[in-house]
Amino acid sequence: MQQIIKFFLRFKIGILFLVLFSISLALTIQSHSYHNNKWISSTNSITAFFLNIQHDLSSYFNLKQNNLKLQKENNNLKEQLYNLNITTNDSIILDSLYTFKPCHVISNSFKRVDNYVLIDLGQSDGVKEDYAVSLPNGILGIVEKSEKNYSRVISILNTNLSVNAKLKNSNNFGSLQWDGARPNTIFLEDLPRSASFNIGDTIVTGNNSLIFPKDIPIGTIKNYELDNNIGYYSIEVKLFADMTSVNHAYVIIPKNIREAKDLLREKDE
Amino acid sequence: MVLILIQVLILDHILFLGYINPYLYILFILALPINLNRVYIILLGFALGLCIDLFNNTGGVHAASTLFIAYFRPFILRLSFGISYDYNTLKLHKTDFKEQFLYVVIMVFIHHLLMFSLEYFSINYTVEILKNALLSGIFSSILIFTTLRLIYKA
Repeated sequence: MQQIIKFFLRFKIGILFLVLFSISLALTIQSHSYHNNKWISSTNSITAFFLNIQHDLSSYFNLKQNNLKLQKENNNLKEQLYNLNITTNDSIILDSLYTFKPCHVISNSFKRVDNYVLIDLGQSDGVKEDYAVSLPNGILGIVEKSEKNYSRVISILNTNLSVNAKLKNSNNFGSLQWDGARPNTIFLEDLPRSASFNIGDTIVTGNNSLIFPKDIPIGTIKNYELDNNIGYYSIEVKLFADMTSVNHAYVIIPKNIREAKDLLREKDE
Repeated sequence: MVLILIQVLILDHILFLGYINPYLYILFILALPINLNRVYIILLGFALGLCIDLFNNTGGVHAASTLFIAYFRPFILRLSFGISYDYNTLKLHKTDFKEQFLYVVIMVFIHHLLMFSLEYFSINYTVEILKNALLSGIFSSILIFTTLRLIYKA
């Protein structure tokens, strides 16, 4: 017994190192798998507090630019509104599937392979996990973890996330994935060979997602490649949104998601 | 504490030329007193890295790499300062310009290589890992070295 204790005392530094090192490696491995990265997260109140202060300060510097962005978005929406033949009445609006909640992006990252975004809405605002977050001109990601006042969003610039997307002009769909390289390009994979498209066509969110509403514009086709062995296209998509400077975003709160999920579960069983 | 905040609030936003980002925070581990108990150094390294991870949502990437250089610090000290380290007479601010620079560069590059490999976590990204480690490493080394000189001057 004494021998064992002596042994441990002699190598305590090495053992301490190994223990801590394996803890950090475990945390690292865990962070590389989607939906498991919950221990080390910036949604906790201390880090969120500092990031929030930073956001408050730095947002003043971008005020003018952001105002212009919002004005432009407003303008677009007004155009759409007045070009519609307004024959709808209130009941249709009440039946809408989603509600939008505006939020601020407190901390954004785009230079890693697995990026996350922190937003200033949380459970107390009705934001739950797996809700979609969109931008004025694109999509931002999916809420991965939500605490009382803050939520962490897994960005579309994250190699662990894939989003259902389709061509605007046809119904051929594929999955949207990031390769970890450039923050303004993303790849649409697994689009069948039968699909027809041109460079410059628009990519929108697909119908097969419970998280994102369909037909949100994402980006345009920049380049494509056909893998002859598998018979699927890999399309390079240029994002409409500048992911390096996002400030305002919208959490999309679905109204009937539970029903849809129950149906899916029934189908599985 | 101040270093952590400087790192996450200012330096993580630099991103010079698209992918170069300096990591100043390991200065803390570099500048710890030479004869401090190794157990403390290791624990401090781990805690420091974990704080950075908390802000960056990176799991345990920074914790692992900071811990690693904290553990191997004595060996690198001996490697770069040679005999004076063995006789316990080493004072960081009294050392040679060249030896100090060597010490900073070795520590920074070990840290960066490990950090980027853990961050990308795939052999497919070897080129990116090396490129990032090299470019960010140069940037960090210069920044840390200058800060170190300024501290010792003051």
